[in-house]
Amino acid sequence: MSDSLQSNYRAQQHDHFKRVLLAIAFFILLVCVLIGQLFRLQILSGRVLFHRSLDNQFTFADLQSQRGEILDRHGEVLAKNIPLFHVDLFVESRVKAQRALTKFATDFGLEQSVHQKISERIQRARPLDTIRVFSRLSQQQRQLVYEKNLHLPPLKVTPEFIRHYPCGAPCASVTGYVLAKKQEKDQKSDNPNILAAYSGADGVEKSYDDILSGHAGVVQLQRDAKGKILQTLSQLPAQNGADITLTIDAKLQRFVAEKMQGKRGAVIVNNPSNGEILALYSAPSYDPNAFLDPALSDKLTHYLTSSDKPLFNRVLSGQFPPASTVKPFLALHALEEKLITPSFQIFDTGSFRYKDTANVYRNWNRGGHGRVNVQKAIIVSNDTFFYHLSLKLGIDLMSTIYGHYGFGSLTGIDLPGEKNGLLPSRNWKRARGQTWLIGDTIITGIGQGSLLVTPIQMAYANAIFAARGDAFVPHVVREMTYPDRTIKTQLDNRSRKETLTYSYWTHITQAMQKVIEYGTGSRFGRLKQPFAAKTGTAQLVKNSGRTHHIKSLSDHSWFIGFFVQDKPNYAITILLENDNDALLIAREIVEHSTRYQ
Amino acid sequence: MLFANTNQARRDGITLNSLLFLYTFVGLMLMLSASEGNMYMVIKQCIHAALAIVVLLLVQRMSCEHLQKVAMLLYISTIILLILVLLFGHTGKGAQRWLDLRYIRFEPSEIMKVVLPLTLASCVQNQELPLSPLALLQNLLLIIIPFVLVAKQPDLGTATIIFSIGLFTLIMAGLPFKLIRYGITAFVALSPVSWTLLHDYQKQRIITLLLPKQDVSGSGYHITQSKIAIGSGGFFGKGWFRGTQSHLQFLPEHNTDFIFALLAEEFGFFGCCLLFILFLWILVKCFSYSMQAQSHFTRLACAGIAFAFGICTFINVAMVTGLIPVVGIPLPLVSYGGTTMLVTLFGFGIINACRAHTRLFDS
Repeated sequence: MSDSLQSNYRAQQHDHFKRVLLAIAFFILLVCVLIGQLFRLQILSGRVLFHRSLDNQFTFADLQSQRGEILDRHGEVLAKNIPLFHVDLFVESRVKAQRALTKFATDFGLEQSVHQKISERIQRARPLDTIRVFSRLSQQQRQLVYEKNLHLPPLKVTPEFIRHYPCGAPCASVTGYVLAKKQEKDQKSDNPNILAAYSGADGVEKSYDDILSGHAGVVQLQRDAKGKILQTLSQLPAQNGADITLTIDAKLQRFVAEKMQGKRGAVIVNNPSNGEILALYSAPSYDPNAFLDPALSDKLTHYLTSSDKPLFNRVLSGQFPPASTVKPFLALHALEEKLITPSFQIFDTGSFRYKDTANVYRNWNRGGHGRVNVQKAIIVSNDTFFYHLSLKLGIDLMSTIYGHYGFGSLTGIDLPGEKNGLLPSRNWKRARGQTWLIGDTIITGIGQGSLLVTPIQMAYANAIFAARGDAFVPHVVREMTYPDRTIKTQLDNRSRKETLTYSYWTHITQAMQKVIEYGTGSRFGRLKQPFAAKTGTAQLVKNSGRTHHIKSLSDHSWFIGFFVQDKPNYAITILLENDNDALLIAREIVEHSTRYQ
Repeated sequence: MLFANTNQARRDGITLNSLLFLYTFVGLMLMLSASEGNMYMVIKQCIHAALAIVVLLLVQRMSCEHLQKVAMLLYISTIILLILVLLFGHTGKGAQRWLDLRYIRFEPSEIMKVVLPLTLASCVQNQELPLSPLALLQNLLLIIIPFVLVAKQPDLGTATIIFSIGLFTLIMAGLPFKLIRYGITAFVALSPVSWTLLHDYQKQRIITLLLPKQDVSGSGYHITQSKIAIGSGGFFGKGWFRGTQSHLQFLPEHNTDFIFALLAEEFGFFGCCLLFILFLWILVKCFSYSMQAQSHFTRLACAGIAFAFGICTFINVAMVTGLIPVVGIPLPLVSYGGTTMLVTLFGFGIINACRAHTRLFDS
């Protein structure tokens, strides 16, 4: 009995022994599993996870640079950054935030509906969010905020620098405008920036965007899990943008804008001796501040919907037939090429018939101008003379001449959105599957047909003519002043056009001076200094056959002119859409300019 | 007698108590880093440890016969506490239970982790071995009652652990291997059925375990951040007090359930291995006590309580390293919390008492 008990006890002990050993083995196995997992995490993916722990705590934020100012040639500020003040609410706890909002609403006089809306936003806010309670405080509102202690936490007054254009609409054709860059959504941390980030959308703001905007800096921040910034670790300071001085005269610009009130068209005043542009205006214009100030959103809607297209820069992008303005160019080079002599004349009966074809090309004056030599042809803008001349020149030489004056290619002006215009040639027409007809040559000779130019191309051509073949790339920027005070001046971008000669230039300009005395530009009138000019009428649809004169179908009118000098410094180019008063506006602008100089 | 004891103790080499004190000390050192200068918390945990050590020293002086007698009493009072929790512990059920788990997991379930093996050992002592089916049923009932009560809280994690502790104790009591094999087969077969019985949040946790990248800021956030903390420690760690994940609050619950991730981040793979060595040393020591024990009660009590310590540690580390779903199980002797500390060292006190019993028997 005792033995069996003893053996039973031994057996049990042995069994227990076995089970305990199994249990120990089981735990060793478990620990091996854990060590395996730790090995996987810490040794195999240790580097990756270490970097993820760095990503967790370190964050980068942009330090916005201050955008450079834009100044006119006399130092008047056309675009700058002005401070605005907003009231923000920091949501540490919703209850506190609501209490602060109620105090703000009563002391500041917030509208009930606005109060309600912000209150709802607080309820939806996550801790440490910042909610804008009021934007764009006025001077008095700012005083009120400080008097009533509404700037104390959790409320705070946040300054922000925004772009502002003191000159407004008159200078918009040159300055252009900016749009606020979209902020990245995941900016969980407090954004240390009080400078808004902009990108240039048009004008100098766009073409010189890189120079104006400078370089954004970067700041490395350490944060905790809640996104609270613990410390600034390192920073690369932002480099502010350069200030840009234009060749534009803001006073002249404003005067032009005033005269172009209610018109559609383009005005360019430039200096043929260096390519500087003194005034460049596309009418109607727009207020560039409308893109930045919510209070001006009505204006913006008008700009976007108006059939007059104020945002369309006619100077650079509008394409029109140059019409009679090309006559002096063709006449000069026909003389230079010895195709005609100064005494060559035709007899104008009011129309021109090519050989014996049925096509009749009419002079604008149906009665005809009688005997017409080259000077008279320019003074009275005789079409018939130029029908003859175009046949003498031929399309190939005409294309060369037009090309010499920059038609059909970009002028290279430092503003965005320039169009090519259209310079017809045999090749151009062949590419479109058509053959060049003699009729095409004839009407191209009076600046009609397929020929299209932009006002800036016209101004460029006018300047080249005024400077007797000296060509300067038109530009609106004179110099750039960097934050370290270094000044970079625009390069002398002269490109002499050697291809054509100008020995008969005086002969032609004499005629052009008579244009405003008794020719087609007689309404312009005399000036004290010698002034050469040429008018043009771009025909769209013939109004003559209609019983009612339709304004929108009226011809466009051109006016080009310049002071005749050895070193010309003033040229003007005007285009008016559906209006024939270009020369009257030109007169006022030229007079205004001479009074100033 | 006291002399005899010390002589005997010399034969054991390094005593279990010194290993335990070292382990607790390591825990306090980690707590010092995890508290982030909150000395109140550190002092409180030191007081917890001091109290628990006093309890350990008191309990190890008790005789086994005495412990055997009070076991049932302890069991019944713990069951009553668990029922009270179900009746009055209503307040702590938040939607995100496991975020502030610390304050809503009710402590009686912790007590049960030690009381259950003690009670089972005490019952088996009075039963014939091998266990008759009736005795087996009676013991199973002892396991199922607390399991159901804890599962109803609802705290399926702790309930499962309690169940496994009970089962292990029964296996140690000589449950036939054949029966165990059947049990495992049945469990595997039934697991798809049990999936449907789970709460949505419990299913979510299992899904989160399998696909932690699915929502980084939701329930997977804890696992993801914990893995980043552990992995970023590398081989030697970032150094004491230099864990960025925990000190910048990316690591959630870094002084309670996720304190192991802090260890892994600050002391690396090397530090973790050292802790595991200490952990295994303690376990093996307790199991060897069980082997050498002379009565059913001492055998089962030693093994059961050691298992409780071992399985809780494993589950916690497995959870923190992302091997199993997030269940609110603290790391014994290291995580912040009085009850766990007290109960764990109370358990080791019983093991010491059993050891004394064995020595008495030997002499």
